Amino acid sequence: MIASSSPLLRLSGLSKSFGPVIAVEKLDLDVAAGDFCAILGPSGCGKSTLLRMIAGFIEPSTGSIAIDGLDVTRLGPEKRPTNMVFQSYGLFPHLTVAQNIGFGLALGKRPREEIAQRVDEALRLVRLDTFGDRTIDRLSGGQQQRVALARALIMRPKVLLLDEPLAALDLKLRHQMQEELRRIHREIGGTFIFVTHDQSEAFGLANLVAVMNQGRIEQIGSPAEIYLHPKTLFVADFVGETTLLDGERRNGRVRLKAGIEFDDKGRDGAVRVVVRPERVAIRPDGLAAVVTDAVFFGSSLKVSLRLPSDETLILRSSAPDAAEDYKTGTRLTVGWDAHDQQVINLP
Amino acid sequence: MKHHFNLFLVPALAVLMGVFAIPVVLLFAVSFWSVKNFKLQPDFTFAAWQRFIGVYGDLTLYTLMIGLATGLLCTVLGFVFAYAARFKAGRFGDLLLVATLITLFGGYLVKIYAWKSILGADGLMNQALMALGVTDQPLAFLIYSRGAVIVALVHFLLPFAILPIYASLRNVSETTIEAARDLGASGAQVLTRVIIPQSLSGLFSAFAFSFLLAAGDYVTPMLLGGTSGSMLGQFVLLEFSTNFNWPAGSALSFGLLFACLILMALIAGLSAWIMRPPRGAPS
Repeated sequence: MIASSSPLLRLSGLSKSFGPVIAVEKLDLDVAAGDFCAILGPSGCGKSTLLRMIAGFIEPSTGSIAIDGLDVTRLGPEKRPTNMVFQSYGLFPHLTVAQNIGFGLALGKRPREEIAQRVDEALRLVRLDTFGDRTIDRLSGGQQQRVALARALIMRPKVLLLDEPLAALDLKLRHQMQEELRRIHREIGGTFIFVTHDQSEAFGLANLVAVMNQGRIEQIGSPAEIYLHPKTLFVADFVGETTLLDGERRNGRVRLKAGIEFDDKGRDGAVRVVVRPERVAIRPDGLAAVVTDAVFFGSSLKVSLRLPSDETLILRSSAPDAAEDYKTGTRLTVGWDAHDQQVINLP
Repeated sequence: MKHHFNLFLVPALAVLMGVFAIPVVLLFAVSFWSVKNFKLQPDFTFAAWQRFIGVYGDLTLYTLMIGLATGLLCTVLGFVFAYAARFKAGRFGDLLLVATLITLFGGYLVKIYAWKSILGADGLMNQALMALGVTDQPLAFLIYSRGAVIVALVHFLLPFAILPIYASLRNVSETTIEAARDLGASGAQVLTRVIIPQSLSGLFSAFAFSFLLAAGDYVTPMLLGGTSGSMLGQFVLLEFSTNFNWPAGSALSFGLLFACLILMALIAGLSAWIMRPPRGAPS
């Protein structure tokens, strides 16, 4: 978690309602300089609204936005030290690649030589060195994405905002662009915030992830924290593959329907236990289970197990001879380490 | 494949040649002919063209000026209307457009007579001005003047300007506008550097439509122009009918046509020059 005394970007009590519809509930978020922050959530969760509030396109209903200690809540997008890479790029079709990238600097009436030099730098940064004179309609989707990125980066924004930056690209390009974004972030050391609905994208790029659902931030943390210690059922379910097991806590002891119990402090009542598939393994002292299905994914084998409680537990094994161990119908005992499980109280 | 397409084009080409190209070329040839005893005679003389330049030179310039004024007014007003319909009216944008189309149903003469009754000596405008005490007798210059012709032409031609501009504004993506603002563009800069450059083709066709239709008109100046607001079109009609001077009528028509084309080429060149990429942008 970030605990910096003066974060680069601070959202306090920020919310947005459109009439009676609450798009973003009151939230606080701190992003430190140099962070690569992902806002992760399903479509319609308010993540794009949040990003557009930071960019200045949507005026928040309550709360404030401060960048570098300066309140920018009432400033329009043209006055904020942020720049955005739009999902549909929004490149200017009447200008060349170089003119697109130099657009912001030309507005600022910078000297011609400085603009030309910085455009060259930006083109090199996104590896489009020889594309300056092309028109936009002669670029592929991936190249357009790079131009949009260069056009925003050339302004040296304090915060770079990216709206679903990779959504419009095909799978291979997406991986490539992901690498590029990591490299560029490393090279220029900027602060990036991006919105995505794809958790692999969020984990692959960000060092700070905010998971959003129905206008609320459910959890903020490093990818590892989010993955291994989800605080809410939504996070556990939305992020990665997971098994949720029913149980109940009485006097600091949790008893699972599936048949095991362990000590866990907290209030009495119904709980769910979150277990990640790759943390589950065959153990002599574990739960009795029957293999109902096994699917080979190349790098690992995904095994579905039926527990005595009729719940399904998912196990992932990357052992080379896993297929031998998990034939359908095999009876075995499985378990996991106590620190690999996360207990979530049900409301 | 290509060969087949060429064959399919033949009928259309034949129609175009037969009803358009050949008659136009013939009419152009007539401008070098002569008339003797009310009979058209093949000839090769520049008499008709001399008449066009000598007698109608000034009038051609006035006609072009009226066309230019009408074209520019229609383009500017059309842009304002289309801009509002596209960006400010939300879901009422299309409704506004339908409203402009409805004004076309009214017909052309009706509008001219409407302006006659507004601008006439005992018309609405003069009555209102007198009631307000601005003037104590009707202002004569309101009607039968170049101004009256331009007002009526703009009223009639505005929808023809709005439609192409609206069509081109529809193609301006909102993301490009947001991107420009994000990069620091003020409202005026968004307009001049993002919206207008992307709608140049629409603006130009709007201007071309209204300019050509206005410059070639002869009914409006006949009914509203009086003596000071005459236009060349009226004299094309005069030469062809009353004077039975077909060569002169032809020379007038083609003279006006060429003058219009030259003017439009100048305007196109000028607007391309004005809209060249932002200062300081790398080429």
